[in-house]
Amino acid sequence: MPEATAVAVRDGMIVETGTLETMQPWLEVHSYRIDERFSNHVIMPGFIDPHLHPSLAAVLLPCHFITALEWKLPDRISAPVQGHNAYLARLTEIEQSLGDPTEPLVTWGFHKIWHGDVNRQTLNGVSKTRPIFVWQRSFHEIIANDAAIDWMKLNRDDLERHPQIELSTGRFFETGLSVALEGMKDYLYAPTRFRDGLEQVKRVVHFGGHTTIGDMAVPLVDLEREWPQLLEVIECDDTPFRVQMIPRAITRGGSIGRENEQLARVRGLVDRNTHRLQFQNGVKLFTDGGFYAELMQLQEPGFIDGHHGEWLTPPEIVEGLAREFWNAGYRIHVHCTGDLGVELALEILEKLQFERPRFNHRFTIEHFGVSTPEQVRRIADLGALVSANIYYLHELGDAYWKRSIGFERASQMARLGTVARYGIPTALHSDFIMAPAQPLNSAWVAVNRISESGAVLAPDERLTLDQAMRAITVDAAYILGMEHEIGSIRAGKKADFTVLEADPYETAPEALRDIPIWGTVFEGQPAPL
Amino acid sequence: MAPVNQLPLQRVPVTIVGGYLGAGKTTLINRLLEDDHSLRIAVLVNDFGEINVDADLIADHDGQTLALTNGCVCCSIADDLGGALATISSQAPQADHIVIEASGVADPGRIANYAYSQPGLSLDGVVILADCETVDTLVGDRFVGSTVKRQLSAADILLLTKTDLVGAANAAQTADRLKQNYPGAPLIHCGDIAFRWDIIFGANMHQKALMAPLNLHDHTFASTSWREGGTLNRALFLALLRSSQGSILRAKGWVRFDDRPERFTLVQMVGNRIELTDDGPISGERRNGLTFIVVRDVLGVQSLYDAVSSCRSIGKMGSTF
Repeated sequence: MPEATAVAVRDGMIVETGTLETMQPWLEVHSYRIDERFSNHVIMPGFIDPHLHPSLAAVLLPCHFITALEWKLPDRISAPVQGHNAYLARLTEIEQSLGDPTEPLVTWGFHKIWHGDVNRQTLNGVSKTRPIFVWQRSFHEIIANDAAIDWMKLNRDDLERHPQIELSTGRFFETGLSVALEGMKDYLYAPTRFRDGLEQVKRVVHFGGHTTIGDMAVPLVDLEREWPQLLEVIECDDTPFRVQMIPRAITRGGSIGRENEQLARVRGLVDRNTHRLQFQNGVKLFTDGGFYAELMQLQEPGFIDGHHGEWLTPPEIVEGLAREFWNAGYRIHVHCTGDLGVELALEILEKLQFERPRFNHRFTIEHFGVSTPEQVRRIADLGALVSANIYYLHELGDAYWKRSIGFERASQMARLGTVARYGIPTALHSDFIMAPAQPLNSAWVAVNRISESGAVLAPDERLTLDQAMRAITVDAAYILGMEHEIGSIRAGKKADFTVLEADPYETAPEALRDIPIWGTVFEGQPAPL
Repeated sequence: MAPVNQLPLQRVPVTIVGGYLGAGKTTLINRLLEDDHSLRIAVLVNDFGEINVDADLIADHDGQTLALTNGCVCCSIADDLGGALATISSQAPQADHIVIEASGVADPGRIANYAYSQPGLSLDGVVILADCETVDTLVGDRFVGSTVKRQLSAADILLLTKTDLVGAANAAQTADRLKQNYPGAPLIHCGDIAFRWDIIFGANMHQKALMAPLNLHDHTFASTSWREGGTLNRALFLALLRSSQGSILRAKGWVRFDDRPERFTLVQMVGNRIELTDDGPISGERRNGLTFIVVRDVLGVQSLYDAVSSCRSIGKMGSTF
């Protein structure tokens, strides 16, 4: 990649990149000031994460993190906590640090693989009086102590007869989880808590070095409730990033024959656009279930234990909506976690290409957990793109190898090497809070493919450093249809930079994620961390 | 038999209506809202836009809830089943029956578990619709085959819909295949509009209607009431119900079992689903009694009556209750 030692900026836009010498023709005509504060730093194009969920993160960030792997957050580092006793020690420490004895303690990050058996009794041992909720890493289970069960004001007889609630252990799972969340709803979604969560999201996004993110499914629940808060927290002068809002193609059921209503709704959203919050022509669809929850749809031979994945939207409805938005010229992002989900998306795209061919359509496979090499070739043939949650490989590679889908497919999750060999533009994303919102961390996984245990999984599927750097800058911009504005440092683009303390190209690949970030520059305005 | 007001706990029965897209769920629900079944039914649907009832029937419409002049209400789930159930439960007077429409790709068994446990509700059964024209193809579809099979497996009662569109021979063939693969669930043929509410929702087996004589004159179904004193042997009785799955559509009533002769047990059977629930100590008013709806040509009512009687235990407590 070409390098420069100076960049000229005017009104938030790059005027020229090169050296002080090469930009003399500009300097001779216009007045200027030379800012040398970054002379010992490395300026990268501003990092872009095209797929995270600020509103969901706003609900989760106010929770106390106790995680098996390290999570770096702006106001705290959640140090890795592994082992049963270490988990309880940390939980007790948090419990004792809280002032108000009636305030519920909601912690996130628990996983029995790392933390052993935590149940109602164990939690009663931590506190008999304070409600304690342990929210599992995958979000699909909550464990509560007696104080928490009482606090939810649910009838114990009703809980007793629920097949997916175990009162003896305090476990609420699957449909039982909905019962618990119903009881916690007013607390979790309280406006002040949500607002506080959004403020934290804002710091997290800055902390990772981003200058642009994609909110890849708007709204979380209710746009009318979320939008005013987003405006208040994000659309202000001290926010050093912009958000492309990608609406859900479907809200509330919606069904065959009425896709045009969804199109009209989505079209109307651009009227809300502000400087930092922008709806463009992207739209989000969902095929199969969650990857952490092991609900992805797999082709044969499926899961080791024989369970089945789920469709989040009926395939016919996905197709009807995809057709409506395809024919209207939209950029379609499809959540696909398993290879049967990918297969469905490609089948639909193939039909649409047959019916009404489009170039430059940017149909994007989002997440890209399990796939086959043949599917990658089809992705290329059909002109589609990939935006991958590469962190799956790091956190789940070992666990899914041993317990879920076996070594062959687990080691090849997010097969980005193959994708790169077919020349498919690829972005890395965090799907925050599914992975840390740190592009350098995502790039680190992509170039090393190191699993949680330290094993290198499917080295042929690694990206080169340059491919990974493009995947968090200019190729990520391409996925969002914004490559003409952002993603590289050249004349005419927004003056968005991520300022690093070391050069990734001079850093050992294993140390990539440890490069300190000075801060960012957003539209010409420096924003130190 | 006991008057209604002596029942210890009055939970509103819930029926889950499932089946893949196009199976006829919306048609069923539209008919349900309009038909004269004399029940106040609350229906929870995924998509309000599909509800299409006669405008004259609409009493009130506030965006989330549609109230009809016949006392039925329809409420949008809007991704929040718990919230919708709470809305419905807060309405007075309480609905006689709640029907939840499962989305086309949902696992109705999971929704049933949820409904089963909600405060104030009890699960009546899972009714799965299968479109006679498409069910065979769907079961083999590589994208949705396993979803459809899971839905069919969750059925307490299977409704084969659109039988009028394929001809009797084809309908019978499809029905045979389904019976073979899902033997526990009785299968009912429905033409385009002919839904049997009495069977699907046990309309005349409701708490408020249970004590009235069941009047079911039909060439397909028959009903019988068993009224005898004494206690039943639990194992024998359960074995009888299990061996009759597929031919008993519904059973409901109270009996005393020989292992707990001092208490009543509420017996509820909806096709594939059998539930025995303790229902409190015996009282002077209540007596053993069971009501059955059966498939006429498979199970004769007299032989069923006799079979239940043969489950009576001998020589235990007195038979005056």
